[in-house]
Amino acid sequence: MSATDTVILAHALGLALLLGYAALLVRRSGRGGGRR
Amino acid sequence: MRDATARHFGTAPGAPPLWLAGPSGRLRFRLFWLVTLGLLGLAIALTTWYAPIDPDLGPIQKLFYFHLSVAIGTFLACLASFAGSVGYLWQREAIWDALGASGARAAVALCAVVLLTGVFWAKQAWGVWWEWNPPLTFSLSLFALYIGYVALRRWLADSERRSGVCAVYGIIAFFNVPLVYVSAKLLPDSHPSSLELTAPMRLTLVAWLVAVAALTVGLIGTGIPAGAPAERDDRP
Repeated sequence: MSATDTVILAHALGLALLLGYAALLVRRSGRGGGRR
Repeated sequence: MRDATARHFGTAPGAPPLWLAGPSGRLRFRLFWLVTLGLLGLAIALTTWYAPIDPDLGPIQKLFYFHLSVAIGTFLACLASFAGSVGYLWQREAIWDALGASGARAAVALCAVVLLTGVFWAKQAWGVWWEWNPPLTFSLSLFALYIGYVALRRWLADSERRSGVCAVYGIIAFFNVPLVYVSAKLLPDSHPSSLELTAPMRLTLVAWLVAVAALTVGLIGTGIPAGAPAERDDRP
C-alpha cells in the first residue's frame, strides 16, 4: 500500500468512526433518549 | 434504558440536546452540525489540494494534521470529563455527571482515532505498526483508562453511587493526559515532538484544529441526554 493510499484510508476510517458516533448521538438525542 | 440523568432532565422526543434547548434549539442544532461538516470538508479539501507534500516525510505527512487535531480533541474531551467529575463531587448535580460521562465517551472515540492514525503513520514512517515508546504507550493507557470509565459506568447499578465512583475515577484518569503530552514533547523517541511547517501547512493545520474542535464540542454536547425539562418545553 502506497503512502497516499495509507493517508486516504486512515482519514476515511477515522472520520467514519467519529461521524458514525456523532450520527448515533444525534439520532439518540432526536429520540429523546439518554445513555448511562 | 433511560438513566437517572435522563429522567432528571425529563426528555422530550425530537428535542435538541440540553445545550441547544430553547425556541430555536432544533434549528441551531442542525446548523451546528452542518457547519461542523462544512469545516471538516474544508479541512479535507485543503489537505488534498492546498497543503504541499513534505519533501522529507513524503505524502504520509498529510496524516499529521488530522492526527494532531484529534489528539488535541481527545485532551479536550478528557478535560470535559474531568470538569464534569469535579463539578459532580462539588455540587452533586446530574448535569455534571452527564458531562463527565459524555466527555469520557467522546475521549474513547477520539483516542481510538489517534491510535488508528498513529499506527498507519508508524507503518509508513518507521516500518512497524507499533512501538512501545513513551508517547504511544501513554496514549494506549489513556484509551484503556477511558474504556474503563465507560465499562465501569455500564457495570455499576444506576445510582448516585455510580455517579460518585465514576467522578472519582474521571479525576484520576485525567492525570494520564499530561503524561501523554509531556512524553510526546520531551521524550519523542521515534515519535516526532514537532514538525517544520510552511504557511500552507499551518493554514491546513488550523482548519483541522477548528473542525475537530467543533466536532469534539458536538460529540460531548450531543452525548448529554436530550431534551429540556417538559415543563419548560416551549417547542410548538
